[in-house]
Amino acid sequence: MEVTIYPIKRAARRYPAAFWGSVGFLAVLLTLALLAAYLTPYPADASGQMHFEQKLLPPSLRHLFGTDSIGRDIFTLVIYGARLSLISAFGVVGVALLLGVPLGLIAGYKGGFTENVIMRVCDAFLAFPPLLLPIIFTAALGPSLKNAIIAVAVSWFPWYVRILRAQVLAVKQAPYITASRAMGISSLRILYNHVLPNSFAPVLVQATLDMGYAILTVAGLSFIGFGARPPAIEWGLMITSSRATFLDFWWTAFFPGLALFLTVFAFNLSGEGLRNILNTGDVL
Amino acid sequence: MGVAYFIRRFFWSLFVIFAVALVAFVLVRVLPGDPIAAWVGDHPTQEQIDRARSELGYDQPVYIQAVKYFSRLMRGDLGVSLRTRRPVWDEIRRRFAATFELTTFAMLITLLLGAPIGLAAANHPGHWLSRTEKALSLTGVAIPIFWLGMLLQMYFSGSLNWLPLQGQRALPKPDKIYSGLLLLDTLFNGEFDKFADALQHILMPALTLVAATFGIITRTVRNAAAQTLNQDYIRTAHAYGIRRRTVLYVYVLKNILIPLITVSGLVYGYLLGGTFLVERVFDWPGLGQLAVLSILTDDLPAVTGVALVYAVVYTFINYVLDVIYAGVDPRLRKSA
Repeated sequence: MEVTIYPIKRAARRYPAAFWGSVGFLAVLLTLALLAAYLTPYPADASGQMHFEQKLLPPSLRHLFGTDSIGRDIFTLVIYGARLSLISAFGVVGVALLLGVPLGLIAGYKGGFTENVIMRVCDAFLAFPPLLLPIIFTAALGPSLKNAIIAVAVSWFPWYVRILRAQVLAVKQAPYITASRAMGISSLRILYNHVLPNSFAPVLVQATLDMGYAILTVAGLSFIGFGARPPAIEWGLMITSSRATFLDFWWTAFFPGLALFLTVFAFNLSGEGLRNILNTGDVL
Repeated sequence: MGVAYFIRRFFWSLFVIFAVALVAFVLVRVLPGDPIAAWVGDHPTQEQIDRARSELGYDQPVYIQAVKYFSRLMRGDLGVSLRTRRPVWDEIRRRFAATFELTTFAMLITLLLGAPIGLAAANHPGHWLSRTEKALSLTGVAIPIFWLGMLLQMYFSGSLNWLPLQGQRALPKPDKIYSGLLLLDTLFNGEFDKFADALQHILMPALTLVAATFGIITRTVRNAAAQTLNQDYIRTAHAYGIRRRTVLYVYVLKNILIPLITVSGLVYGYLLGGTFLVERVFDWPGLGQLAVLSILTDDLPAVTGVALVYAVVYTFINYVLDVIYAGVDPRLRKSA
């Protein structure tokens, strides 16, 4: 399949506000997360300081998002929480790509028995209802953010294998691959130099779209106790711990959830925008 | 040809369930927790521990445990829960009904609302309905489902006090139990007060699940319908003067069935996954809660059992969908 890269300008025209807005939002979020120590009003709150005398204060100019049940500034915590969410996004997708890309390349390029084995294993993974496999895995590995990331990645990589294999099957037929083979270039080099670059665009789009879902899934695992553990600052965890207070003090649950929602939303819009720039169409 | 396909598809489903059973068996054995500790309680003597080990069969080699496990599974015996000391199946059956009721209720609402709205959005591209649909579907897939559930709780229970905060019912169980599904049983018994109570309880968790899946359905229907509306035979139908409504409901609807069925399978799986979170938020006495509870209490037989039930349901749904496909689209029967 031929991949046409449209000029960025054209993408900008097609998704004027939404695409650039979401990319901009993510850039701001990343900056805030990296420089949290300098850009938040109460950085000490993120490392466990408590102020019981200021607990559960409503949003005000001093505390933009209010304070939680031990008096910590929720705005500060939300910004710090972005770190773990971004780490989970890149972690899940990164590990899944690391597993999925080589397997997809091999399955598509080798064909035959190897392909059959790889694809059937993938089918078996995909036969689990979503979230069940991550839950069992995190239970087996012990609950922690790292294990949650690995667990989600392991239950997701089959999607990348599927997408990449389908691409490779198409690319493999191209005359330049036959020519490279005839010249006696090794399979490994053909895969790396010709097949991968020409079949990667749909995987890239899917990976971007998946970042949002990765954040949601990991936050969900944290919410039910199979992800990040206290004292880590993570949005899903913040929402869990607000369950005792949120009915009377809405801001304790509202702002961490809003941050989660906007971040996922921004990743989704960026992925859609990327799909239009790379013109890959629907990959699944 | 067709029959061979169904048989092959059936054996593949069986294999998948076997694979899940195997994975569950292996994973559960590497769980960090100690099942013996869960069984004997605090401060056991060495003798008690040894007896528990042999009672539960953990003193035998792993392959013997595996053989016993699979032969019991064949007979439909999921073992005894370490937490409740009663057959795992009893608790699963009860909780499965609650989860099934919630997910199916949500699925029905999603389809009944989503399909017509998607169809209408495709038919009137510039209409406000179309734009609202787009916004809703983008929002729905990005919203954290557990957070949405809590927002609903804040509004409908906290501020308005219209709906109960959590749980499946406030009134006693129905007098006679036929299906285990609360809404149906109370209705059959004519216990309308209990029915209203159950309906009030299921509304918020179901609505949460609907919000998360609604966009997937409308989007699928809209895209498929928009594609079909561009086809020559639709233009021909219009040219013949066939009523717009007839064209839409007869010709277009038929052609969006395949994508709709595919996506419904995905959505049902998503709902099953979503119940882990939603059941937690609304304290719904279903399978998802049992899974979490069993993992946290190192109740190995229960973890295995729940995982298996989920996998069987999911596989069964996928199988049924494949059969329906073949019914809807004769081409699939041939090519398979």
